[in-house]
Amino acid sequence: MGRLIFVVDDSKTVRASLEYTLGKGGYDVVSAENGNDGLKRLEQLAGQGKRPEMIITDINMPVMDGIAFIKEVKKKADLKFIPILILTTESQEQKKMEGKSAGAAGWLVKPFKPEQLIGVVKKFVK
Amino acid sequence: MEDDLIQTFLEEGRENVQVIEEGLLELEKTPQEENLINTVFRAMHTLKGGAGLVGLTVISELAHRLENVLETIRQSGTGIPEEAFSILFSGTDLLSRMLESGDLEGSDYREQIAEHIQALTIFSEREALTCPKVNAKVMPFRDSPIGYYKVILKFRPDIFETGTDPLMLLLELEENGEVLESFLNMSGLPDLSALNVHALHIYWTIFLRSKKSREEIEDIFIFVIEDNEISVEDITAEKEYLYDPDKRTGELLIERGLITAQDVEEVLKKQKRTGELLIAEGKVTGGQVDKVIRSQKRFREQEQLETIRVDTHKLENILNNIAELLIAQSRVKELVLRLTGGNRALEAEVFNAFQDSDKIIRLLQEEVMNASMIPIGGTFVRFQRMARDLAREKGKQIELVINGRDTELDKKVIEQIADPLKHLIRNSVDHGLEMPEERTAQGKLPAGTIHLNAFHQEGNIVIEISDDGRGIDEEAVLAKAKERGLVKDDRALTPAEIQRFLFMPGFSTARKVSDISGRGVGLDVVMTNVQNLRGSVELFSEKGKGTRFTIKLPLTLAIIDGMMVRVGEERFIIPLTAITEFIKAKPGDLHMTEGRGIILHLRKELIPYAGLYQLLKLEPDYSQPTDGILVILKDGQKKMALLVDEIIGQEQVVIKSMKEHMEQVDGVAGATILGDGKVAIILDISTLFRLSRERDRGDSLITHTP
Repeated sequence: MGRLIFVVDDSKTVRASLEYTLGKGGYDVVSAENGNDGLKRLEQLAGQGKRPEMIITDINMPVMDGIAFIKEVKKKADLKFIPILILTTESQEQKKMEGKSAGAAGWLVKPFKPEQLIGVVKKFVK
Repeated sequence: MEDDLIQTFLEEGRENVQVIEEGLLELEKTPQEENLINTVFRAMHTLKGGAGLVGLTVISELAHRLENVLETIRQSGTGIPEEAFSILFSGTDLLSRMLESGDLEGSDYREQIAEHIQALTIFSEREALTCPKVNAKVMPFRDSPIGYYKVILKFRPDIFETGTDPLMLLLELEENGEVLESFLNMSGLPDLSALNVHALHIYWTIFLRSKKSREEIEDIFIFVIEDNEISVEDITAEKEYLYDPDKRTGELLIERGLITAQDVEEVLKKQKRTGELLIAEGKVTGGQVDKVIRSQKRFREQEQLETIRVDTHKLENILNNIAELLIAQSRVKELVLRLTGGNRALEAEVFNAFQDSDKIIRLLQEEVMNASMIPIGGTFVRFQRMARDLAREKGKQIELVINGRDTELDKKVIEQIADPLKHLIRNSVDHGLEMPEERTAQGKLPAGTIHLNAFHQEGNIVIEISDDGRGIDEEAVLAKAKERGLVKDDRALTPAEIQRFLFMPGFSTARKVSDISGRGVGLDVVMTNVQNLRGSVELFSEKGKGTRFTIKLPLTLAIIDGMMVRVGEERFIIPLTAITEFIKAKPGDLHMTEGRGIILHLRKELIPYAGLYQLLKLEPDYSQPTDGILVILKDGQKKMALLVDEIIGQEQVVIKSMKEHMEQVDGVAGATILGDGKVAIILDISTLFRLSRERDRGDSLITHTP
């Protein structure tokens, strides 16, 4: 079993693409559609005794956006040390800074190439 | 699998286009509805992102432009203007047709797409919408692939809370090159009882050899570089310094001043491991080692804590009082020696005692002076920004490499040297460095390098500014000098002589020359400033290779090594650095010349002569050059023979500025108080040279025959 990475994005395409690329890189992926859904899934995982080694989240999502999601995760003692990577576009400089101050460890600009994704993930999970 | 991904995108894309179309239709009725605008924006954003991910650039680009329009509308908060609808609808329609027909590259719609993008551009411009700039990172081209880097990684103590593990970054750094040497600083590590396991207390200094560029190395730390103290310094140019097969790298690094005192401390800290080894071998117990380490640490902590700010005036007062103490002590010495009444043994003892206390006072003086010194690093760092801004303005690429930040010198010197240094850096960026294309054509890296270095040398501070630009065009300088009548005969001038023209007042301000030579505006100002600090400027330049300015400065302005001389009743101090030798001239050594006064022939050299009594209008014992002593002075390349009555001896004197007490006097740099309480004047050498030249011009007809 590979290292577990948790993905939150409202776009099916992005989720599918991340699952595909990370899967090929030897990681296990669990994904959620938005922040709210993400928090629920994380609780479920905790119930199974699993904790992701990294979280990758989109910023602009319905129901609960990425910033709020990060803030929630950082409040939980058992999750706060998990590195969080935000997915952003170059037009979202503001959001990037917001994400950082909320506690994200890094960001990845969309669109990205598979090797870029793996390169960044490797900064946090070997 | 890739096909599956595109299939997923198509399904989602169609859904998104539908959301956009419905949203826009609703918005036609309620153009201010914020939630609707957000929904449409998000759908467009998702569409763009997805298309980008699966490599559909045309769709991604179109969606990106439409998203920009929506973003601006969203930011403006005034709802969608009417004219925006048509462009949004037609754009969405294009996207929809591409997705439905499966023509994902848009080959059937090329014209419409181009037209549309143009329309979007016009729209954006009219609305003064600025497209967000794409972060196009220009990677400097490197042809010599091996670089040497000094990497300092000082993370925030709470770095772990961001989820970043410095270990991962260290491993990545290691993958990107060869770690030559690494130092771990543990000085911030608290005692075990106070240790917070979630905080990082240590930091690293790493020397790396790598094929990557500095920017690429920096990119490893892209997520942390802003909020943490991370620096990657290219030290490739110093690599010869760094590698000596006979020496350990570490020793060399320290010796060359490439690592700081802090780093040295880290090296010493490595010795802690010796303790661990000893325990392993059973030679000492863990407790013993701990105790030693604890006491060492306490000592270090104290060292860190005991720093206070002191008003520089207070330090100056202490220095002044020490000077007074020296004077008072000399008086006491004279009086005591008078009381010994010729008792030789007693005299010797008294003398020794005074010598001891003298030594202590000098030591005290030195220490107080050291305390008023600050590192030059702060000044250097300010230049970094200036150089970068200037380079950008000129369309040039530069890298400012700084070494010797920790070199300390008198605060006053630092304050006064900042402007000349700024001038020289500006000069390098402005004239020295070529445009990137020009450099590339010459096989140089497009980015020019300016090195800024400071170090101690023989009791002086040396500051070097060098660039790898075009160097000085000596022919152009020489031509200009001839044109101005500065070169009389046709004798060949040395490069040094030619370069000296650049420092002449008024010479370099000639715009034409500075353009041809690529050098020179206001170098005379730099020279004057440095000389005011009792320093010197040297210039070394090679055409096409670059230029180096070397500024030599005294460690402090407060103390001077001088030679005491006497003219009549007055005593004077001549700075030791200005003296080359003393001679007693014979009548045949001196000759009268027309228009240039008296000239001294000294080993085939012709040196202008002047009596100090003439320049400062004094009553001397000797007015003939052959009767007194001639001091051969130098000022840069110029020399002069100065007549004095007597040489008294070498003295280290404390300079007291006279500016506050009297008007600026020509030829006088300051004054000092001697042991007997009398005042000696410190001579200002460059002004003496000027006075002598003026006198020769004015009085050359009424000369004193030898």
